[in-house]
Amino acid sequence: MSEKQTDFKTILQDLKVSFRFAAKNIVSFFLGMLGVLIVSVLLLAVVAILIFVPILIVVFSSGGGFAALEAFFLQVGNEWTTGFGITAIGLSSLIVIPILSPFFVAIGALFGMGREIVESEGTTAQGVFTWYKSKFGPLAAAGGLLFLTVLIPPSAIILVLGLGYGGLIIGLPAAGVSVFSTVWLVMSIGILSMMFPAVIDGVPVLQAYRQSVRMSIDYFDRVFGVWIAYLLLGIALVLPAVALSPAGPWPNLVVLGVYGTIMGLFLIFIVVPSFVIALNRVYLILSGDYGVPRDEEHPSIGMVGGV
Amino acid sequence: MTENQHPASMKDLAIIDDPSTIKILFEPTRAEIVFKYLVNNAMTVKQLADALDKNPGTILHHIDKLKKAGLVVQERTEATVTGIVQRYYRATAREYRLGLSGMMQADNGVAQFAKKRLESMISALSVYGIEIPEEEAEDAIAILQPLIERENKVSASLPIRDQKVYRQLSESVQKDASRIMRRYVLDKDTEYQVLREKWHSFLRNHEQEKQRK
Repeated sequence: MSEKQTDFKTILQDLKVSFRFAAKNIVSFFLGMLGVLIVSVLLLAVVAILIFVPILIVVFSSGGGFAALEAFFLQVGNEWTTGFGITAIGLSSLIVIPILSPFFVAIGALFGMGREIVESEGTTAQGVFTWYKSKFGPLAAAGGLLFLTVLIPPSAIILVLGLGYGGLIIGLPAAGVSVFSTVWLVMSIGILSMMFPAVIDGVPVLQAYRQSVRMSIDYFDRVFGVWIAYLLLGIALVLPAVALSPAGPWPNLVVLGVYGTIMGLFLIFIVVPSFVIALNRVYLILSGDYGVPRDEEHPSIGMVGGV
Repeated sequence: MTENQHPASMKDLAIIDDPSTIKILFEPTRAEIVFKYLVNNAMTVKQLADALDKNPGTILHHIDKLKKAGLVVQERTEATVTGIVQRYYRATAREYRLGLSGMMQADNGVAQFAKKRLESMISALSVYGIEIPEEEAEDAIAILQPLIERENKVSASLPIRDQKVYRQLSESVQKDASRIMRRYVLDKDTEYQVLREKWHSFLRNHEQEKQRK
């Protein structure tokens, strides 16, 4: 199908349309993001209480006080440097994923807003809460899956190498791990970039995961074209800030402050929404079926009874 | 729908007898989306939102629920010059009917609704000169209900062999062709004929009573 074909012009068009829609819906997106952020922080506090209060109760009830608490966290830390590191990853994930889940849902709810924009050119700030509520479970699960997929392979390699090198990875292995982690981060996010739009489309989480992987293979150029374009744009926006920072070649704190503020606002209010819109748009195009509309006849009046 | 799937096949008539699906349709906007709009035409979220004077987001959530219930599917996608990617949704059948047996088995609310509807139907026949006394309403329902169910079953099993051509037909042609074929399959069904004769006989008796008066 021609709509699914990709070339440089198509990617440029995807970016152009997405930026235009993001600019057009800047107020709705800003209010939606703000609202969802407040709700997420409140939920995070609730989740943190639910996780840490039982830990504190158990640890303090042993009678050891703060010393016991310190010992508990030291023990978890030690797990990383011993042969039980994989248990520590599992334990940490069990704690970290529920804590982060409100944010996963918040990101997913933004995809809901993006979907509304792509399908009807407009959205409302309050619409984000409907997505937040109606898709809470699937979006949290999708976020958890994405988190695990992105983080587990590099973490496992670091652990294995850490055990092999006695806890400290330096030199070539360290460089290898860095390269692998960076490539994996870029690839895995690209491969799973269609998952949130699919979940918003009503696809069950595991099916959405598989569908995203499938799409990223079948339409590699379109999916990765958009993802890499945004990644490069992000890098291009951050590079001047690095150059102006005290560690950069042209340190200038005043210019850095002005640039940083403008860039930050542009990133949050335009680039992020347009990225969300672009992914939704690409998903809708790639998952669409381009049939022909049926014949319309006027006047549309029947001629036959129950013959 | 995945990228390689074709649109789901369309039925001429579908009987809704799953209580949870019936409940979904008790929401007026959803019922309107399906029965007023999507049975007749494939429409986009924006078109439905404009027609119903609702927020596109609200329509999208209703469509999501209707898709999950198997009442709506996406038919085709169109990318417009402005960059919008429109999905056209349509109903999975040209006509829907509520399945009586499913409704009767549902919880009190739905079962009550079905019973009241049948009673109303029976008493409404008086406008055509057929007076069925209140004490005979139960008998009338006992004859009519199996007839309706058989009619639904036979009509709903009418196969559409060429989905592609069927989807291209205009709404009025679809309806006319369907009427011809439904009558044909019903006339071939012996069980339906027996039930219908029983019902017609019941009606004749009450018509005669009326004429005698």
